[in-house]
Amino acid sequence: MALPTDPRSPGPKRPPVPTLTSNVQQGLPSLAEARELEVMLGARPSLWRRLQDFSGSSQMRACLLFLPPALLIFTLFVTWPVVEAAYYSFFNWNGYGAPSKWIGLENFLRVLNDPIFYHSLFNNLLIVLVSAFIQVPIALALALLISDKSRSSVIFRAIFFLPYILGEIVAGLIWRYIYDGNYGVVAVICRWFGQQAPEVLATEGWATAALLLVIVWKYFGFHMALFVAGRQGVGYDVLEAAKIDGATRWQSTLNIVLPLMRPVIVLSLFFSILGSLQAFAIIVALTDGGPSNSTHSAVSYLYNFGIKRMRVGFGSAIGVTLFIVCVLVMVFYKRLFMRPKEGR
Amino acid sequence: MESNRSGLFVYYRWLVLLLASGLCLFPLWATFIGGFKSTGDLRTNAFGLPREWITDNYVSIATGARFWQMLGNSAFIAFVTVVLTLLISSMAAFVLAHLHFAGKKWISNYLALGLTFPFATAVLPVFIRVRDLGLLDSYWGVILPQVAFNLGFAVVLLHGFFSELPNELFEAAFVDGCGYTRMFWQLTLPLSRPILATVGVLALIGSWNEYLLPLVMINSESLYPWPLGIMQYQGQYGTDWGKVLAFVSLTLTPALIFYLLAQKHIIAGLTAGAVKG
Repeated sequence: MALPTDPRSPGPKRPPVPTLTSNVQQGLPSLAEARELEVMLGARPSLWRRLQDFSGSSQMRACLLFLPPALLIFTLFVTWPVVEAAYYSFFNWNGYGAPSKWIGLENFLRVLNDPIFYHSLFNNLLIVLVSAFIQVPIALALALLISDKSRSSVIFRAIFFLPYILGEIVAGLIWRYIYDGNYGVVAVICRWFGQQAPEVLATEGWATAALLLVIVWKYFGFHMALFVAGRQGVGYDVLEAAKIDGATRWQSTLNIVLPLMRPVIVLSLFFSILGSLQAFAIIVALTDGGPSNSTHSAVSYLYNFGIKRMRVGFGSAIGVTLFIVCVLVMVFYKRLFMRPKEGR
Repeated sequence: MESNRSGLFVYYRWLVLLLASGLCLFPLWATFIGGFKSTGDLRTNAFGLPREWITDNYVSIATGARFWQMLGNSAFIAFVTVVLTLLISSMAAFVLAHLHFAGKKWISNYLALGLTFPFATAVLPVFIRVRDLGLLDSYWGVILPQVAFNLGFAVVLLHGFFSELPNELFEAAFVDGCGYTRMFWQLTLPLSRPILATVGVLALIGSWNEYLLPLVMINSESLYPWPLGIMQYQGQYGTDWGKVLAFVSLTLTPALIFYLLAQKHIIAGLTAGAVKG
């Protein structure tokens, strides 16, 4: 997910141009330099030649020592489990013994016929929409106010970023207290107006709205920090020019700064989607999916209906479905909004 | 006219910023101060200082073994995760950045796959793998999958940075007969401190706050990291909010101190990490 327009991202690597001056004096070029010469002249050494070079060299030792740990642990705990999930999803299996009860696509049919699953995905979509239309504009506006290097801006940035570093569990519990209908802050405020406090988290609809508010509270600082970095990347020279030409602050922000920050905004929305697809702990701590399963996200649905009950086959089918959704969303988003530039 | 409007802008700017800061910080303030309040006080007085300072909640938690044990568990898991993530990913990134061999591109794309899907999609098979390895209900059952899932972003970030280190240095070292292993330890790593710090902070905060993985892998209370411990505590004391709030305040203190000390680097690291990863 490299930011495509990041000028620092490495382009295609060019082989270093060897200098042979020193060796002209010493006679024959060294073995390494002979190889470099081959590269420079565009000659492709034979496979045998390359193997010969490679084996027994310090290069091979480094390869054999440095690469396997990463590949091994990554395969063992990341890629292979995804393949296994695809396999398990065809079984009715509680995780003990070997999976033996092949039931074909039944797990998938059950996932795809479960209204709670769609409701969970809908909540994921809501998170993205709220992020796009509420969180990102707030974060962007604040970022534009505090992207300079003044002391007050640095302090405000630190304050806004703070909720992001807190654990999701902590954020969820804090807000669970705030929403509490008896002891919470909401209850106290309601009593000021002589109202009986509603049990926000126990009311369908309100609970979802409450969750969305917590998510905005926790994550807007991260988006703000992205925008501050983006704003600083744009620089201030352009604005000086615009000011001389008589543009107001509002005009130059709208017509110069925002278009230049487009890549960062695209990236920020990308992270909203990614974060929404991972939302879990914050939901567990705040509502635990309730009331009547109305605040589940895709992952908390997976946890509640697959993992918690050790339905490995069913849970794997949810996982595979989620995986496909993720890949599709990512690919489409990248195709649509992130223009590939040279390089990666 | 212009200066007047500018003055008005400054005024509104401060108004907006202070309001936003208040909304941002108020929940934390209410939590911290709530830990000192009696339940009766909580019901009527959410904003102000407690009418009567009750220190019991804080004292009994901070002097109990349970709190320190779970912080210790989290610290151990996070520390080992960070060290292993940095070591394994930088070794792989070094090979990918400096050595040329067939299939290199393929390997770096393979490791970048880790960025494309959330961990939760594969958590059940990972659970079974960990169980079959006999690592269930141990620190390693959390650490190893965590390191594995960190490798995606870590290798991408480090690979990018390593490739931009000046090639002349490595050529000079090579000419002087320095092997690749030594180059890694004595050239690449010391030169890459900023990116190592970025990756380290990302891994540290991720591991410290992780909930799903220990929830699935750990059963024994004595091994609970804080997110599990705090949920259990909340379940136990339910709506005795004074206690729960004190517990929450105390558990978020280490993160808060760390943030206050290294706030600039953390923000820069997390955003740079996000942008480049």
